[in-house]
Amino acid sequence: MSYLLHFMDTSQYKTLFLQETEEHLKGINEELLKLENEPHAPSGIDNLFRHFHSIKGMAASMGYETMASFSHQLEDLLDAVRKERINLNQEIVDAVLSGADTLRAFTQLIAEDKPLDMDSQLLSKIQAILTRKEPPAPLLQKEEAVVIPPASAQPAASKLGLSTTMKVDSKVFDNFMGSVGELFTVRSRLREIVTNSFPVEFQEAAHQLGRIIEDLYYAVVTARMIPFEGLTQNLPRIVRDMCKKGGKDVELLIQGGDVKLDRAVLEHMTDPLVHIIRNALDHGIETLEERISLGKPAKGRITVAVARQRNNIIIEITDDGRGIDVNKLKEKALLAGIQEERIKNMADKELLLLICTPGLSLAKEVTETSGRGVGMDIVKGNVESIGGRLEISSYPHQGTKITLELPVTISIVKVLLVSLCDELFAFPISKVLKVMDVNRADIKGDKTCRSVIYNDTEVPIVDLRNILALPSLAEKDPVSVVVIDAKGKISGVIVDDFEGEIDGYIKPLSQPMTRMQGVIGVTVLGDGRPVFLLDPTMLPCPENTYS
Amino acid sequence: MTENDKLLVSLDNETFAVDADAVAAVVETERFFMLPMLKFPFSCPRPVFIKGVITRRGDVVVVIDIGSLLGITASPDRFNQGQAHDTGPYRVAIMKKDASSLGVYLGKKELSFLWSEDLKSLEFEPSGENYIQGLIDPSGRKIKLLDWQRILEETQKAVSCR
Repeated sequence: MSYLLHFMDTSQYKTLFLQETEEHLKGINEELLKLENEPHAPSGIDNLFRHFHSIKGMAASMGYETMASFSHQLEDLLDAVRKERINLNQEIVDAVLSGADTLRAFTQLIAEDKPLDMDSQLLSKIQAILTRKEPPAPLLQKEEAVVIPPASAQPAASKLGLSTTMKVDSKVFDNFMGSVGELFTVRSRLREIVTNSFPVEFQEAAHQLGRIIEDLYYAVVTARMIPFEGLTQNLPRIVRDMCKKGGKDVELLIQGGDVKLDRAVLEHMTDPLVHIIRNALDHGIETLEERISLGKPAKGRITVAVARQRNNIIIEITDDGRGIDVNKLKEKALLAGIQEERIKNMADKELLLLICTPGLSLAKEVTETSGRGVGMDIVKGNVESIGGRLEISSYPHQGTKITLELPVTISIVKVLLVSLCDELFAFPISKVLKVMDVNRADIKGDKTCRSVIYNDTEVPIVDLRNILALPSLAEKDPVSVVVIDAKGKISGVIVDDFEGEIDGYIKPLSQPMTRMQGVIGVTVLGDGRPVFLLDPTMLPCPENTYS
Repeated sequence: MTENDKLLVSLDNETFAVDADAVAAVVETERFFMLPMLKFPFSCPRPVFIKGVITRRGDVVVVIDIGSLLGITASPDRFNQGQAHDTGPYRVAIMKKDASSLGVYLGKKELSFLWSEDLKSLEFEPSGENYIQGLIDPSGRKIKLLDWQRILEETQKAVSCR
C-alpha cells in the first residue's frame, strides 16, 4: 500500500487494510506461540519484526497514526531483542502478545469508525523493558545464528506478474450464493411447470438450464468452502492463555484441519468451538497435582478432529480430563426442575445432553470463562439451528468427547413442502422418515395424547394446526401425517396435505425474526410465496415418544 | 430534530410520520402470509399487531399494524375466528436499515409527505409515548414521529416470545 494513499481518500481501502492487518496479526500470534516453545528459532524474531513493520506501514498510509506509532514501539522492542540488547523472555513475549491484542482492538475500532485509544499502561511497560540494562542474550550463540538478509537487500523482481489468487470479501460470495439460490428456486418452479404438454425442445432446454444452475451452485459452494483450520487458528492462543490463568498444562491437537466446509457453517461454529474448549479447560482437565496423583500424564490433551462423512462433517472434541459426573448431573437436573421419573428412564446419552439445559451447570463455581450453564445451551442451539446434531460421551477420570455432526453446506436443502390452511411450510427431508395417510379410526388416544402405528411401533402425533394456533380443520379422513425424526425420537405431525419436494435456497431469518423459535430459515418460491422451514427438533415431543 | 423528508400515515384521527430515508419502498400486496409462531412449548400469545409477512425481491418482511400496536385500532386478522377481515390489495411501507426490515401497514388511505424545507421552521416536541420519538406541529395539527427502531425491537421481542 503506497504512501501516496496518505493524500487520497483512503476509505475505499479500509476493508483491504483490515483484512491484511488481520492476516499479519494471525501470523504474529503463530510466531509468538512458536517462539515460546522454541526460543532459539532465529527466524522467529525477524518474521515478527516484518509483520509489525508491515502493519506500521499500512497504518501510516491510511492515516492511523496512533496505530502506526504503537506498532513502531513493538518494532523497537523486537529490534532490541534482535540486536541482543535485551534477552527474549516471558515478559517480552507477553508484552508483544498484549501489543498484538491492542492492535486487533484498534482494527475493531477502525471498522466501527471510532477513535483509537492508546493503552498507556502497556506503552509504559514496553518503555520500561527497553530502558532496562541487560547483558546480551546467552541463548543464541553467534556462530549458530542464521543471518537472514533484510528485505531491502533481496533481489528486485525482474518482471511484472499478477498473482493467480484474488482476495474477495466473503459478502461477494454470499450475494453470489443468494443469486444462485434464487435460480435454484426458479429451477424447481420450472420443473413443476414443464410437463408433457410442452414441446420437447422446451423441456430439453429447461432440463439443460437446470443442469447449468446445479453446476453453478456447486461451483459457488466449492468456492465458498474454506478449510476447517481457518476456524481453529486462534485456538492455540486461547488454550495457552487459559492454561496460564488456570495453572494447567494442556496440549491442543488439531486433526483434519484441511477438511473443507461451507463458510456459512464455519461461521455458526465460532462460538460453540470456543465454549467447548473453554469448558474442557475449566471443568474437564484436572490440575497438575490432581493428574499426577491419578497417574495421568502431567500434560493434559485436547484433540479437535474433523472428518467428512458423505454430506456431513463430523467434529469431535475430546479431552482426557475428569469426565462428567453423571450422579452430580442427575442431582442438578432435579434441582433444575426436571422430573425424577424422566431422569430415571433416560439413557446415558440423553442424560449427558442435559448439560445443554439453560442454567444447568456442574461447575462448583462461576469462573471468568464458564460455569453459568449458558455455554452448552448456545452450542446446542447453534448446531441445531443449521440442521446439525450434538452428541456427548464421557467416562469418569478418562475424559469427555463431544461430537458435532454438521451439514457440509446449509444454503440449499432438500425440503418436503406441506400445506396448512392455504399456507406452505417445509421440513428438512433429512429429518423426514415417511409421509403417510392415516385413517382417523387408526389414530389412538384422546386429543391430548394421540398416536399411530409406524413400522409396527406406536408413535405419538401432534397436529401442526394446533401447534401454530390455527383454527381446526373440518374432519378430514384420512389425515396426512409426516413421520419425523426429532432429537433422535420419532413422532408424527398432522398436516393438511403434502405438496412435494423441492431444493430450497434457505435464507437465515433476518431481524426481527432472528430469534424465532422452531424455525430454521425461510425460502421464497418462484411465485413469491414464503415457505418457513420448521425445525422438527423444536416441535413438541410428548413424554411417550419412542426411539 | 430530524429534518429529513417524512412519509405521513393517517390512522383514524391521528397522523404519524416516518423518516422517508428509512422507507425502502411502498408496495401493494394481495395478501399477508402467516408468520409461524409455535404455540407449544412456549405458550406465547400471538401478537395482534403483527399482520403477517410479505415477500419483496426474495426477502421476507414482517408487517405490523401501527394502529393495533398503539391501541388505536383493532387489527383484523384472518386467523382470528369470528372476525371479518378487510380485502386487498394492501399497501405496505417497507422500512429498512442494514439487515433489518419492517413493513408498516398503511391501510387504504392516501399517502402524503412532509418535505424537509417545511420541517426546518417547525418545532419538535419530545414525547413520552411508547414508540413515538416526538411531535411535529405544522399548521396546528400534531404529527407523531414514529420510533421505528424501537418498534422493530418490540416486534423482535414479540416474535421470539421473550
